[in-house]
Parts: sequence; structure tokens; C-alpha cells
Amino acid sequence: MPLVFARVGQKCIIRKFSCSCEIRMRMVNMGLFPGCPIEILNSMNGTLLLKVGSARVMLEKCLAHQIHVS
Amino acid sequence: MTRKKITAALVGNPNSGKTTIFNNVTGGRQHVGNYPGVTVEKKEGYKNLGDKEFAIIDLPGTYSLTAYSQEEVVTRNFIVNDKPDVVIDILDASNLERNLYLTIQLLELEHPLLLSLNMVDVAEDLGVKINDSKLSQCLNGTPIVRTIGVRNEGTDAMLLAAAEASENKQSNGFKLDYGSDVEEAIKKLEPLLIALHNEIKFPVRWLALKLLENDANIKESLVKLSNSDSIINECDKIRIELSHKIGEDVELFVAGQRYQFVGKVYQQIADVREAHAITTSDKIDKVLTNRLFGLPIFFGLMWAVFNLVFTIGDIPSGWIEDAFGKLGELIGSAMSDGSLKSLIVDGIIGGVGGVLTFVPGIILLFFAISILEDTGYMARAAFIMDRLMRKFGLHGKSFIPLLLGFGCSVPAIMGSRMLENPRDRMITILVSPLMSCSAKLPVYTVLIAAFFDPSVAGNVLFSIYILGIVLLMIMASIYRKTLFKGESEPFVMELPPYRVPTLKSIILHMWERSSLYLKKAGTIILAASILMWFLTNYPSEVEYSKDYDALTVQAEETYTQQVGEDVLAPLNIEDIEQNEQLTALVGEIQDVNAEFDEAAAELEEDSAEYAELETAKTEKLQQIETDNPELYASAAKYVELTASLEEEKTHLENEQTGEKLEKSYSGQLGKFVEPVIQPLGFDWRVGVSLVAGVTAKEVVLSTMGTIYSLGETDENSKSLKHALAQDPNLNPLVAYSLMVFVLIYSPCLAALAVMKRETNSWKWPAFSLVYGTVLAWVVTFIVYQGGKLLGFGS
Repeated sequence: MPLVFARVGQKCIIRKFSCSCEIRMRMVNMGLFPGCPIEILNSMNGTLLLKVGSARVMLEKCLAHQIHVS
Repeated sequence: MTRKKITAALVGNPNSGKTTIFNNVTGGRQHVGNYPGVTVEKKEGYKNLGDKEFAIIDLPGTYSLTAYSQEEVVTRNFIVNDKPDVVIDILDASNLERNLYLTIQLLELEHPLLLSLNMVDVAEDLGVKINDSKLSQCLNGTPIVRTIGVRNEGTDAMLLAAAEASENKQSNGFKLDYGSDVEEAIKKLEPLLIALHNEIKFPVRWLALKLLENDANIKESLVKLSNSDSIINECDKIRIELSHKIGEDVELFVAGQRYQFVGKVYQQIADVREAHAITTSDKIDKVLTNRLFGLPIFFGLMWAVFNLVFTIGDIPSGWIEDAFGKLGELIGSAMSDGSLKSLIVDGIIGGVGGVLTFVPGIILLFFAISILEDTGYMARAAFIMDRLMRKFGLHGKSFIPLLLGFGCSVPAIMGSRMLENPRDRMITILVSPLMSCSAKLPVYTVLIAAFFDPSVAGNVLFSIYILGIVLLMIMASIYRKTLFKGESEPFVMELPPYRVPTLKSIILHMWERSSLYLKKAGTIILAASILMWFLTNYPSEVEYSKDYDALTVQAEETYTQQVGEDVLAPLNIEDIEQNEQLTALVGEIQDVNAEFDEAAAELEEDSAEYAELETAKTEKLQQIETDNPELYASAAKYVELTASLEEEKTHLENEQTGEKLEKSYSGQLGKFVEPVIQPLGFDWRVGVSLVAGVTAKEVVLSTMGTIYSLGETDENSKSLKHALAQDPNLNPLVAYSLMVFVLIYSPCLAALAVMKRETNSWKWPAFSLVYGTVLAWVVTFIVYQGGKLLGFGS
């Protein structure tokens, strides 16, 4: 399912991206790669605060549509 | 002692503590510049240790070595082209997995490398223990040291280990196995690329990998080479074949392989005891980025910052102003009159001093912003503002530079380099001068005081600020839809954990920016001051409409005659000094008058305090009269005549200065632009002020002072206010139009110069000058003509 539908507090694993390759690689470089576990810490008007490893990453809503998790 | 020179480049993820280590190691011995052609800062520092001298380069923070950001390209090009003796990779031990992802790519560059495991204390607090020797083993024996950057622990040992690592010119042969499909493709590519190795200095295996990843930057440099077409075609073929075979983009696959390897390594070397799911930082974030409280807290903080800057900053500003005033007097009295003195005192000290008074405010603003940045709050602020800014085609991070614009456009334009996307950056740079900077404020206040009732003054000022912000939003949306089409960068950003910043790093941060402002703006303002001085003072020989010297002499003669008739003759003396009592009396009356003038200087003439002082003065004079009934009348007459002579002389002098200015080059310029600005209600005098104001906006005011024959003027000047109010050409509508024009028209010279530096071409400052002025004309035309139609123009 797309990441937007995940709830705050939920833990999931990134499966695949459906966005342009530039922003996709930027996310991969920041540690958001397929197969990596993430946790949704907070959401503000759809913008997500994720826990990725021990880093905290902010993600815009439109990107959350393009990340598929399970 | 000659020391052995070693260059070491610091590389690492953003927030890995790299810059803290750099600052602690090099202290104040740093040099900040720019990498050619990009707006990435280049920081270099020095450190002597034993028999070695280290030149340390703080490369920008990067997550990877792909070609998706300027920072990444700068980093990899620096390592390959500048060949530092050793690369030091600073690793955040508390976030080791992702940090090692960069390490793998650094190893693939086949350059001497030292790993510095930083923030081990933070990692241990999180319950993570790292086995260094195991990690070194996993990476073919790459040397590792431990550091705690904030406490400057282990940094000397790090440098010594780096010196040792630099001896190893041979790569340690680390090779990550990307699986048979990729390896096969690499093998096919390598022979093709060996031929190019002389021209492109990257290692062949790395080059092959990058071409398989379809790296835009590497491809571009290949295209530039001759005979590379066939190689590029072959590469594309192999790449496409490979991606069919593995069923996804090679780039993504390769990244996945790297993460997989890193994950395996991490499992072997890390001992995770207790995983704290929620850290203190997360708890703070729950409040500061809260859906309800986030925005109010943010605005509260900004309000606090501005109060800090404007209230505290005013105090040292006053000192600087006084100091420059004194300096001017000192030099003025030491030098003989002439052009050189005028140039130094009026041109240079006046001009540069005027601008330097802004420095305390700017330093304080940078101080506050450094605190917000070093604590980690700035990243949250950008996040909070993102949705709002996006509505106008801007980016969340644009908010910070625009905020700086309230202080000064120079740091605002410089601050826009924090935006990665060039389109976002350009829009921010072009609209930031629309913020009402602190140099425009004195212009507004004088005009408002002269033409508007105090009861509406606040609203008038506020309306100008709002107009600036509204125009900024409109222009940003227009730019987004025309010149800089395309979506703004989607927002993905790492939030560093909240930290208590160290004073040293804040001061360094603040100083870096302030000194850039001082250096760049200082030189331009110096040049502009000299130019303006020349334009207003030359041609030096002017044909006046009246003979001012003769008029002065005439006034003096009339004075002597009147004193003789009215004061001296009745007392039968030839000079007032012949009568000691009279001389003393004159002195007494003059003292009373001077005392009154001083006390009443700041007061309105119709105020109660003024009336009170006037009564007190009259009483004192009456007292003197009763004490000296026979001589008082003569003394009073003498005082009156002397005062009116002084007044007459000052008036003539000012009139002469005014006429000289009218006929000077700048006056001619004003007359030249008059037809263009007439539809806005402005005459040549406003024209000169506006032209002069391009050097710096506060100059609009001082030029008006000169034109209205008042000599020196500043924002507290009551006389300029009166002179403006009495000018038949000016009325509230024209004054308001003038404020609107000053708000919008061309950025000042310092801002234009910084714009040139940030955009690397004269095209954008030229564009900004033209668009700003045209926009100002159009908006002012609408305001003035519209106002006239509505009947405000009388």
C-alpha cells in the first residue's frame, strides 16, 4: 500500500518507489531504500516524520503517495 | 623547522559532526571560499602537529557520491582531481548503517582513507556498541579511530592516523561484489574505459559502475571527449541489457546491493543492547512540530528574534554612529579644507559609516539564526512553513532567507544557497529584495511623519510592509509559472536530533557570515560612496544664479551698521567689549537661549512641554531684565541681530549647496529622469534621491537632506520633515507613492553584487534591477494615478 495510508505509530517496510528517478535516488541515499524498515513518528497535514534507522526524516505528502510499503 | 605538509579532506553525512571536528581542530585558522562555478562553500583550515602541517578541507556534507546534488559532485571531483593525501570519513556512530553506505562509495574511489568513528558517546547512550577492529576487518583493513567531536577528544590521534594512512598510496583493494550480472557488465565495460583513463581521472571500475548507473555528470564529461560516441553507445547498450536482466534500474539495484552489504557488516560489528525507540529529541518534536502548537511556537520564536535584533542591535549601532561622527570631526579638524577632506569626511566616512551602523543588527540576526540552526530547530521551521510557502511557488526552506530580508537583502540572497534546487533558489533570490529591509525604514518614517497624522502613521507603515509581502507572493507565483517552470523540489529532509549548541560553533558560524557581508558589502559601499560624492560635488565650478559671496558680505555689512546704530551709538562705544557689563549680559542671554534650544530640539512646537520651556525661558529673561534695567534693551537687540545674521548666513550657505547640487552631475541626472517619473508625481529632486538610493536605500534620505538645503540630515531630523511638508510638489499621496517606489525599485548595489556572486552571472542582477524598477513604476503609477482619481492628490 502507499505510505500515505499508514497510521502514526505504524512500523512498515519500504517495497518500491513509483516516482521520478532523481527524487527517488535522493531518498535512497538518505537511507530510504527498498527493504528498509521505517516507523511513522508523526504526521502534520500529511507531511510525515519517519524514523529510518536512528535518523529522523521528513517526507512530503506527495512523496508518501509514491512510496509503497507493507 | 620545515614541516611535512599533508592535505586531508573531511567527508561525511550531514549532521555527522564533521564541521564540529573541523572547527575544533583548526580553530580560527580557516579560509572560506567557493568552489568554482557552484555556490557550495569551500572551507579550508590549518593545524600544526609535531613535525607535520595539516591543511584540512571541510567538504560539504553528503549522503552519497551520485550526481544528484552539487555537494556530491563537488566532493567526488575534489577527491579525484585535487588528490588530497588522505580522505577522512567522519561516521556518526549512532547512525552507522547509512553512514557506511557513503564509506563504501569512498572506498571505491581507491584513495587513502581513514574512518573516524564519531559520536560514540551518543551511540552508547542509545545502547549501541561498535567493534572497531571487526569493522576495519570487514573493510579490508581500512584504519579506524574514535573521536568525540564536541569535546575535541581523539582529534589529534585522528590526524596522526591520517598522516599514517596517507603513506599508503596503494588502494587496499576493497571491492564490493555486485552479483554476477553487474560484474559481467563491468568486465565488458572496463576495457573500453581504460583508453579514457588519462583524461578522466576516476578509477576504471568506479567509472564503469557510474556509467551503468547512468550518472548524468560522468556522461556529460565523456561526451566532451573526442571519439567517445562509440563508447557511450556501447555503455548504453550494456546498461539497458543489464537492467532487463535484473528487472529494475541498475542504479537502484546497485544502491540496494550496497545497503545489503552494509547491513550485513553492521550486524557483525554492532552490539545493540537496548533499543530506545523514542528519544528525547522525539519528545521535543512532538511539541515543536505539533499540528496545533507548531506554527504559534514558530511565530513566537521569530518575534523574539526580531525583538532581539532591533532592540539590542540599536545600542551598539548608536555607538558606531557616534564613533564615526567623532572620527569625521577629528579628521575634519586635522585636515585643511579642500576636495580631499570633503571626499574623506563626507564621502567615505559618511557613506561607509552609515552602512556600518547596520552591522550590529546583522551580526545579532546571524547569531540568532546560528542558534536556531545549531540546535536543529531551523530544519523543523522549514518543515512547518513548507505548505504555506508552496502556495506561492516557494519552498519551505525559502522562508529562512526571506526572513533575513527584513534585516538586509545581502544575507537574504546569500542565505538562499541552502535551497538545493536551482529554480527554487533563483525565485527566492529574485523576490527577496521585496521585503522591507531595515535601510528602507528610515525613509518611510520621515515621510510618514511629514505627511500623515500620528494616529494613522502605524497603519500607513504596516500597509507598506504588507504591500511588499503581497507583491513578493505574486511575483514568486509569476516566476514559478514563467521563467522557472516546473515543480518545486519535493520536500525530503533529515531532521538532526536537537542538540545544545556550543558557543564556539555559534560564534564561528556567525562570524563566517558577518565577515562575508562586511568584506563584500564593505568594498562596494566604499566605491559607491566615492562615486556618489563625486556626482554630487562635481562639476566644482558652477555658475550660480546669485552671487552668494557678495550676499554674505552684504549681510555682514548690514549687521555691522545696525549694531552700530542701535546698540553702540546710544552707549557711545565702538565695540561691545568696551562695556564689560554689556558683554556679560549678552553672554547671559545667549546662554539662556542656547539652553532652551537644546532642551526643545526634540519637541513639537505645539506640545505642552514646549510651552512650559518657553514660559521658563521668558521668566529667566525677565529676571535678567529686572536685574539690569538700563542695559538689557541694548543687549537683547545685540543678541537678536547676531542671531539673525547667523540665520541669514546659514540660509545662504544652504541655498548655495542646494543650487550646486541642482547643477551637479547628480542634479542633471535627476532632471534627466524627471519626465519618466513625472506621472508618478515626482520631480527632479526625488529623481536624484532615487538614483542615489540605488547605492543604498538609506541614501534616499540623506540626498533629500542635501537637496532641501539642510546640510546633514538623519531620520530624527525635524527640519527635513518641515521642509518636505512645505514643498508644494509634495502631498500625502506623493509621499505614499514615494514610499511604494522605494520599497519596490532596484535592489541596492550591495544586494546586486551579492546576487551576481550567487548566480555567477551579471544577467540576474541586471534583470533584477530592470524588473524591480519597472515593477516599481507600474505599481506606483497605479497608486498615484488611482489616488488622484479618488481625489487624494490635493
